[in-house]
Amino acid sequence: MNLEALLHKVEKPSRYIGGELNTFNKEITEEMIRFCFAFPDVYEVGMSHLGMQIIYNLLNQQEDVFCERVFSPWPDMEKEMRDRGLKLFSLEKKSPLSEMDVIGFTLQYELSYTNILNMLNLSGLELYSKDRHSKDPIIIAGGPCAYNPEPIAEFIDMFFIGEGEEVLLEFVDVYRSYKKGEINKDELLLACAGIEGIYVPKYYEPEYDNNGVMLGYTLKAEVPKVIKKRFLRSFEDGFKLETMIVPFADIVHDRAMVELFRGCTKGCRFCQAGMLYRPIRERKPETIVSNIDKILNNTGFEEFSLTSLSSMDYSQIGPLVTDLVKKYEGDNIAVSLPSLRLDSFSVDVLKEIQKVKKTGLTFAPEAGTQRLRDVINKGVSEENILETYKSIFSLGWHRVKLYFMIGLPTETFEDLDGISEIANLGTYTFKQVKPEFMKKSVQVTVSTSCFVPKPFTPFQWMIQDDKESFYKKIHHLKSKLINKKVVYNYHEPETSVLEGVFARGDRKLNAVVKKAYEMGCKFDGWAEYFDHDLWMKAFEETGINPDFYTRRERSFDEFLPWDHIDAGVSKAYLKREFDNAVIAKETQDCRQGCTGCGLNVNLIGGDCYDNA
Amino acid sequence: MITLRIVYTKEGYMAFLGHLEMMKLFERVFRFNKVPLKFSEGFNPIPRMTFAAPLSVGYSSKYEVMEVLLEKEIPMETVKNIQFPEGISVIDAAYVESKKSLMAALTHAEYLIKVEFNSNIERLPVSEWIDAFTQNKEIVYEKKAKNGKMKQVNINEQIDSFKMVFQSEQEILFRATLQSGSQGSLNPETLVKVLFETYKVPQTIETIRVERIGLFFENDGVKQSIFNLSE
Repeated sequence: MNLEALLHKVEKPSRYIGGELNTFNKEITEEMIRFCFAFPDVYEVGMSHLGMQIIYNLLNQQEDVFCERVFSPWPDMEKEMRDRGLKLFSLEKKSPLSEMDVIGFTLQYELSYTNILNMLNLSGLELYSKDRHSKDPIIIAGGPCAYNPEPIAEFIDMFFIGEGEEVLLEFVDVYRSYKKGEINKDELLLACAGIEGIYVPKYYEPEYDNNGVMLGYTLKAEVPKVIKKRFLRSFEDGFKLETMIVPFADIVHDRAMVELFRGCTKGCRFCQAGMLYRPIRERKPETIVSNIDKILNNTGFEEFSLTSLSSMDYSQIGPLVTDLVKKYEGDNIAVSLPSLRLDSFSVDVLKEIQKVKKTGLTFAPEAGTQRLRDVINKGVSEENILETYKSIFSLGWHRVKLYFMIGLPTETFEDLDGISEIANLGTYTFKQVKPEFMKKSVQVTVSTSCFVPKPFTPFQWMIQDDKESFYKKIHHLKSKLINKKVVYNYHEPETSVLEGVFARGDRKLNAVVKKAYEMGCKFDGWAEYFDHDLWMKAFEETGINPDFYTRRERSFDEFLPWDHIDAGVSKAYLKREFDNAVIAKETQDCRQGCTGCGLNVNLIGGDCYDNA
Repeated sequence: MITLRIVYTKEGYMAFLGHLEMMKLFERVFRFNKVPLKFSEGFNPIPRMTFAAPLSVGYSSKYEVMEVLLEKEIPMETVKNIQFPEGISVIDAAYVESKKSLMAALTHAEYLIKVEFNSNIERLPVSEWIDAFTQNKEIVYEKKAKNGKMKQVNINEQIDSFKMVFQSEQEILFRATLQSGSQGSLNPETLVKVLFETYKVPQTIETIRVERIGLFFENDGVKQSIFNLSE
């Protein structure tokens, strides 16, 4: 293969060369299990994903497993490859993907599904699981979207539900017997279906009523009726990422990443991650500090991020950040936090961080009024917002970004007006409190995204706004946000509506994904490639109405396509939270007392959290 | 202030790294190797590194030169053993006193240029053309200036030497030393294209591959390797 000739013709060729610091290059032997981690988006996005770094290192620690990587080639590269008949190849060995034993896709967002099909096709593999032979690689998938795997269940051989560290190694164990020829492909799939956390869709056949509403699944073999998610009981003792691949290209999150904890106790009702990653499990500060030391020594990164779903909620975040800044200031290594709360404590931590590197400020009030914030259980008060403005502006910041969602359940135009009031409060407060030396003027950036109801959240039964309604709200905001110091950005509703279809979709959607792919849809998450009309044509031609998934209020007793997956949170809890949402009643952070989500009873069999 | 000057290669897949990617790679490799970097002052301190001449993406090189400022000296042995990704290796290094910037001092770069055609070119009198071409006083080509406007440049003033190394059925290899630096630069691909346009060659160029093999500064009319820049 003359890869170099192609590289001369494409933009950003470093996406395809591999060979970065801390990559593996193992010898291919008879026994070697070849695993390719596949990210269905471009290199810069995929390489920013912490999960990939974890799995890459976890698997490569196994002597008889060689984990390589592949990303979606950008359309210019794809064209060159197709013109020359070059198959999709791994970055490490530049091997065609068809030579792999296992290809593992990560499902980070619904709009990457067509890219998965494109990658299978570029590898010369059949799209449907049933059409692939025993000599073909086993196609597996995991990640947040695997919690509702149905829209792509016909393409994937097995899904991994929940955290992958343990279950992947259990899978590799079974795969070894398959590799040795001791069991055949069917026996492998059946054995894997017996591993907790693995879902093999071919053994679960969906049943529908005359209206296409699901009735349940018929089991086609001796497999568990419900697939329980996997999670590390003790995150403290679990696999620790102590090195990372250091990319050449300028990737989205170009820094070392260290996890503080998994799970979240906030209980925001719109947030799927907050429900899926329960329970809360913290790592000890000393573990984190030594982890950072190792990872920086092994990589040479000039910045590291303390990651989690809500890092300010780490029980010892203040002292931890102070210690870390003191330790690394001299080496010009910066600390960053992915998410800040709207409170004065966050501002204190921020002051520490800024000693090394000044960064922009981003906060997420999510909704414009107290009432609506109570509906979604986002524990942010008007005082919090005002106090935060006062402290950041008096400290010398003059720019702030605010994130909101539109289309939240029960939202009215009054709630939208609230967004504009919060923005105006910012510019007004700036003038009151800015320090004398401040010569620059204030800028408040408001960004709105369109709400997508997700499985395993209290809003999983709700209707989603349609495109027209989202646009009406956007236009309303445009007309309200006229303050010259306020900038308004919004996310296009079309993609959010499509995301909504797949988020709560069933197996009938496989035909639509395939049709859309064949018609040329790909990189749907990228505005320059997303083609709404083409997607609508794909729905039409397959006879599937997207509104069935987004515009239909489901009853509490309807069987949902993801009801055979157990994420730990009980339906009773989600219903209760739904009822609380409707009456705008807050539910406390579960660090302050159990709110009865059911995880402790269903999956843990005891109290939720240690050291949290 | 301690200035470490390094000569390194950029070959194989590393040829596809852009200049910004190279700068980041060097910083991280230095940090990984605990090289005591000197940082700029200000809100976002960055290491003080300069590269003699950025290399176009896709060009490989046997001879690239960069400088980095250090807080204190480290043994030369350590410097020469710094491990870079495959394709980049340190081939020479020295501590220098020079106050002159590499970029300002650079005047010429030497290249090997391999041109592949889509059909037979064995019979073309390329050597003779080069002789005539380089003896011609003025061959003008259009170049985009920094302000975006097109300007006329005499290519011959930018050629120091230009030779054909060999010619086969569909391939020609050239060696050329061209102006490169703050006084102006001649892109080796442009040189080849202008040559073939001048003689109206009917065959189509399939690919042009470039390798840089030297970087020079001029001292009293004598070209010396930029690595030896002193004062």
